[in-house]
Amino acid sequence: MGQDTGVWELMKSDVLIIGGGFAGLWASLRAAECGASVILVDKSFAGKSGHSYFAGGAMMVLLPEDDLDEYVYDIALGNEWLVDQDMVASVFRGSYDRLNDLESFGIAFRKSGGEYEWTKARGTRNVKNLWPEHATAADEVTLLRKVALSKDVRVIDHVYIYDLVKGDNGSIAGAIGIGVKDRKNYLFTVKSVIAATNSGGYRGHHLACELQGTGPFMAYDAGARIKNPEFHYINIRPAKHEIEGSGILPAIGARWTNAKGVHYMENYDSVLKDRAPVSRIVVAAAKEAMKGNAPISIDVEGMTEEERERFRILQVSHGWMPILFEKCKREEGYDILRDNIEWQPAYEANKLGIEADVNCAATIDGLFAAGMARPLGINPFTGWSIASCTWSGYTAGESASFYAQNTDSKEIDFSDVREKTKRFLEPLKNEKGMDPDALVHEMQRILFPADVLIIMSEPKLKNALSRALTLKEETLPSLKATDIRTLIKVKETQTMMLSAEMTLRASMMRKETRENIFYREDYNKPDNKNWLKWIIAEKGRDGEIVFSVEDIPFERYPFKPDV
Amino acid sequence: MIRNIDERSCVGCGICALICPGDVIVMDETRKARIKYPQDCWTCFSCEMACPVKAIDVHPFRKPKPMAW
Repeated sequence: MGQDTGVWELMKSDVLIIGGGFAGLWASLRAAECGASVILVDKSFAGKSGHSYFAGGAMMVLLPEDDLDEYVYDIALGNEWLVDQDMVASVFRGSYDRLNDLESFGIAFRKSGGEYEWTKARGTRNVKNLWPEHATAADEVTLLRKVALSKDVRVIDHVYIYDLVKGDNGSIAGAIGIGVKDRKNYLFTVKSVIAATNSGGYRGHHLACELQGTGPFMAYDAGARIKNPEFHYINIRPAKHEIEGSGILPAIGARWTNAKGVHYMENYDSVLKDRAPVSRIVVAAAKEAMKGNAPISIDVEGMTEEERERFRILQVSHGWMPILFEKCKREEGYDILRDNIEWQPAYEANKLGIEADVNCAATIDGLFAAGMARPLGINPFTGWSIASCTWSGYTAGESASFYAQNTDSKEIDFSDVREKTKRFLEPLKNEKGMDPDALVHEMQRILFPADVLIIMSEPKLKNALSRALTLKEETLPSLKATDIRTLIKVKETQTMMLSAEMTLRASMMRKETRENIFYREDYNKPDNKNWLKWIIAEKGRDGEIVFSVEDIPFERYPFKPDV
Repeated sequence: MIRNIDERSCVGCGICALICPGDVIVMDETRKARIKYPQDCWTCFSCEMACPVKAIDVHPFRKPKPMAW
């Protein structure tokens, strides 16, 4: 069986968790607490890879004195009604308990006079963000790994999972992977699987290099439904390097400016101006660039010393930011808080995910989804990601643990394993094909121009789809792998291609604009009559993507928009 | 992007190779950390921060990629 790359490691547990960020680590420790044996696998080092490690650390919390309805309303409105309100309520109901859990693990949150200090989440009227004291999200996930290990979670680092395996009754019964460093084949035989990977992406944002969508798309291959394929998280960053706190800078005094020195945001959002949601900021920057007003910068030259000091305390006091600031000054001759530098949109992640209910169960028996691998709304509010990944991890861990303990052992279909392994290893035989990195670069050239996924229109989406399909037909099948490392890259590139096709087709379907989350130049108004709906993608029998449209169940939600 | 690992300072602890999310660093046969795949560096500074003897230097700029304009 698949001897091409050497030996097989066979592993068994009740629950398998794929991905070691916030969602996966929370899932693992909760599944273990609930009595299951748990394996957590990460393609890098759990607790230090993925998106969580680079998050700022803010977490939305509903404190005992707060009103749940006000929180749900704000998040529903910020997602322009296209979010599951049952899920939002569930995220906040458990948030105070999780805060207490984190504190019991040893993470202190900022307090003053015995009360939690909080900031109001951008784009909301009432939602509070709490901040860890002297710590970033990196410290939190590092600690969660230790807690998981203390609860007997078996953590396996440096194994890349590339496919799910079904049991003889058609339910999910395991997964296959390959050792990134030891090059062994891994087969996990389990009773339930939690996909706790991120969503996907195209390596556009350099701290999101790892997001290729393996989690959601192997679930899609196994028959799961994918929700929200038309939405993206496109951020805006310095053109040459990373920075944390791009949302905080305008909140404390910096203003978006174009090449002519015009502070243009009031032309695009007369109320929130520079503090508008990130999607509006990115669309406005793109429109300015298309008018010939690039480069775009955050004007920091007019900030006061007090404002600069506030940013330093919030963002440049810990982690990698002080190193970055110091080296930009010493080696490149500019001060990030004094000199205006060019900023550019950076594709961060898809917002698509494995459709899952409030218990985080997917539509296939035995499969659960947590973190960005499941839909968690579209608007990337500060503090929402950590709150929702924490909730979904904890919930999926509990659900998958109980499911596993009430399910008989499953028999793996070994012919399925052999077939999938063979398919995964196939590119090692291609000697003349393109290198996967080169194909990703071609895809970036198709997807990243501002008039494709930022300012969308049917002709441009069609053109991008046609170019992507040409690559899919002519280049993708013969991609070349020379070792395990490039083999993994080929799998990731295949996934990115599928994601690009799905997202371009779905974006054409949604013929409307919702300015906080989705911008179509050719349909520039919201259409509540026809588009208070979700788009769902499934794999058809012939292997093609099948789309459907689903009504949002407003009849059971507390809030609904005016139609 | 990762720029240099000072061979003389490197004590061979292997932490950088263990935690690098892009699997950019390997330990060579003399137990020294070596930059093997610089093109895959995320510029996340994890290795530079984790190195106990400050042997690693990451430059703030990342590998160029296609831009929005």
